Amino acid sequence: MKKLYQIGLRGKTSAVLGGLIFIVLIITSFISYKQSQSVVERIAIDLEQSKFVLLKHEIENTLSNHHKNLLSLHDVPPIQSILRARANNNVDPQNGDTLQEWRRRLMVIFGAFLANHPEYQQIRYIDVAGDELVRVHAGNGRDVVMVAEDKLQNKLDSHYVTETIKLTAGEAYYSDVTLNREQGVIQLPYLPVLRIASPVHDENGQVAALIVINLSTERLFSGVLNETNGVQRNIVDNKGYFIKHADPSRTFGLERFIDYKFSTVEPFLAELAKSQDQFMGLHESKNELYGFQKIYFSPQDKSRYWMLTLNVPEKVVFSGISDALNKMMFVSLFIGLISVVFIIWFVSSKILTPVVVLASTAKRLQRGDLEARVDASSTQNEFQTLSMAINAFAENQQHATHLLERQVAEQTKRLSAVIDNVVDGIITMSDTGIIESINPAGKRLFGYSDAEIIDENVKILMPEPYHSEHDGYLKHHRDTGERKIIGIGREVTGRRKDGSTFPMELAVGEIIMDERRHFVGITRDITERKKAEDSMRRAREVAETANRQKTSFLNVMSHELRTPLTVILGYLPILKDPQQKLSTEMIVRIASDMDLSGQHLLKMINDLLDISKIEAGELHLHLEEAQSVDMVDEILRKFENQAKSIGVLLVNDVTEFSFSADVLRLTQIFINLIGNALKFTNQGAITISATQNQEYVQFSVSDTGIGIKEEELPFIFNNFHQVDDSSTRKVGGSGLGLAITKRLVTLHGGEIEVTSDVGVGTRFSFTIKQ
Amino acid sequence: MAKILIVEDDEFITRMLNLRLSMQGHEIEEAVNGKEGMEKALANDYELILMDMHMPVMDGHEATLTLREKGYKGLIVAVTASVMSADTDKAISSGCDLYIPKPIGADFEERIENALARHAS
Repeated sequence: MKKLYQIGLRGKTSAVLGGLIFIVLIITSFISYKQSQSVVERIAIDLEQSKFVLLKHEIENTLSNHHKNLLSLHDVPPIQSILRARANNNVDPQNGDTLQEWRRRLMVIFGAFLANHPEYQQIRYIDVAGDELVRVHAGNGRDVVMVAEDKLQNKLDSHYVTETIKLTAGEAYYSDVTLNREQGVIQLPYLPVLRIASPVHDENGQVAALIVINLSTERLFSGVLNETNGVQRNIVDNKGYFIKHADPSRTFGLERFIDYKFSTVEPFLAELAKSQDQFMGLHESKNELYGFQKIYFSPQDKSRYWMLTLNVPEKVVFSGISDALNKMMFVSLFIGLISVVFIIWFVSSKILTPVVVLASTAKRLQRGDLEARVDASSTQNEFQTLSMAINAFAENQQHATHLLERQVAEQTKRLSAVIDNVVDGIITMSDTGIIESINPAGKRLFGYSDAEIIDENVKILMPEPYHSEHDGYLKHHRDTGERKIIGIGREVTGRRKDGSTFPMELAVGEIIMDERRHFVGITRDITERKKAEDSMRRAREVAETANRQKTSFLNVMSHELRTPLTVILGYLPILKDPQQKLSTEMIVRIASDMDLSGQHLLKMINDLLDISKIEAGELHLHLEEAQSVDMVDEILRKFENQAKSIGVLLVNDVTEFSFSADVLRLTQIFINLIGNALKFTNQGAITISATQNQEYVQFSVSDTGIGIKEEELPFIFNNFHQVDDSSTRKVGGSGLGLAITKRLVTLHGGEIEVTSDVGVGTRFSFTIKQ
Repeated sequence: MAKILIVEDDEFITRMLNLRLSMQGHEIEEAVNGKEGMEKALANDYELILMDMHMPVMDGHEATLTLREKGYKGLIVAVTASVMSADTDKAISSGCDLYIPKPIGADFEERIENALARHAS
């Protein structure tokens, strides 16, 4: 298996690597070949275009030279002299020479001209009526034929005559290229002729004649060559007929009644020529380079042109260049193949073999065979270093693994000891809330055993409504990642196995183990802490209430002390004023008010002193024997007038007995209770009753007044308490009366209690220890 | 001279205030609690109301607040024995124009005159 694997890797790598490199080579070669080809095409097109332009310029220059030659003939003397003679009975009036003589002179000049310019076929001097005046043409060889006067013809029906006489001086007419004709018959062999003519003006400036040169186009178009390798350069006239063609039989179709036109041979180019002056391009299907170039030969008429045409077979265009390209491609492919072979050999022997060795060792290591080592002799260079590194790594790994295993074992032991012994309950659960483990503290806390709780849903540890809501909460957390308690410690309520609940602190953490999410909950019973907190809170509330009452009391006392003071101090400025004229009556009344206010002030100050004495434990009782009926009678006498004034009956209902008490303080107790009763009673009676036993004497004061609300009852004996903070002086007092009363009863070793029905009456009863 | 209403539950203080202001020539009327004072204030045309704050039935704060709510524009002077700053602030926030603490001093008449003069201008 291992052997096959090795060969497989090398074979595969070689095939893939070689294939890849080969494909890249082919693609690169192909692309560069294509690119070269397009460059070659462009160059070929440019080259042919340049040739065209050169040809065009050559033809234009030649035509221009012919024009100059023609114009030079105008300046010879016979031209004007002939005209003068014809107008003057065939005798030149300037020198008396005859027309005949001038014609002969002109013929000599024309003859010399023809002899010097072999491309000219014929020169004529024709008058405006079309009659040939002088005519000279080339004969065989170097001969010049001067045509006799009787052989001269009238050429008025010729296009070149009618067109030329329309021109101004210096301009020239260029005819179409046609086959030369003699007496209307096409001359053989064919002689393509171009006629160039220019008008001659007489001394009055009128067009009187014209000079016409017949020009063989053989020379004019001699640069337009055909080549044996298939390159065709032809010329087409603007009627679409060939005036020069590789095959002369195809030319001058119009005159020779042959339907051979450029538009039939090259319809595409013919169509293009209607709109543009030149074109050069590749004909894909014919595999040739083709194009045309127009030459406008008539300066006066832009509709007249010749068209140079070109057809070059593609093999001619790319010959030479293609060979070089093909050679280059083969050479690069050959070099590429050699490289492939070399690379495959190198990769296989220098890299793959060592890698296979290393890989098999690494695989053994991976399987846990830490004894595996690389045979370093089978490798070389960097691979030896790598082999040694792998071996060193393996040894390290082996050592580190042993160490780690030992450490993990120790840590685990330590951790489980910690977890088993912490006071907090530690519970692990799955992300669906299924309990996976719980430590001893957790089991104690909730009252479950391992068997009862493992694999249960954690919600069994929760009371309602959390119990029912928990699944939804977990799902919500899984879906949205939103947290209500995870990662946040908070106080919740736990539920024990027996159904009882207790306050606990809970912190939930999230851990990822084996790629799965788990939760760890740490709980602590905080019942004791809660109790401590509650009692502390209650103590604080009591203290705060007391403080508030004290503040309220001080405020009320301040207000109550200031009220009588206001009366006393308010009258003084009037009394002190020496200017005052108060009546005696008024002064008596003022004095009475000041007196009563002073008394009230004194009462309050005494109450305050009493309370502070009792609070400080400085009030001592002076016990003495007393008779119950007498004592009560005496006390009631003090309230007789007040009770009579409001229509309330005072009833002494005590039985006669003697007892021991501080009579002064006992009287104070009665005064407070009866005084209070009178304040809140408008009708009926206030009844004092008493009973006694071995240990206690009990007195009670009952009224038929407005009563005290039940919620007020617990507070009425408190220091600084008033039933209503805004009670009037008539009803209110210092707020200390009942507080003092209760303290005085307590000092007597007794207790005081109150019962009341709102709207029916109130009953205070107290005991005095004997 | 001004027409003045004294709203005060303590009859002794009422008598004293009445005497001092009468001697200045003011015309005095009395009310024993906030409710009566408010009714009298709305029915008559007093130039000044002396308003005690601690009273049964309806205290001075409530009476002043109600008067101001009903659009009463007259001068209201709080006269109270409370020295708690919260109470004095409350008197002003209830709508009293001025605050005079008890016990009142020899300058009481002067302060009343000043308040009347300021209010008139």
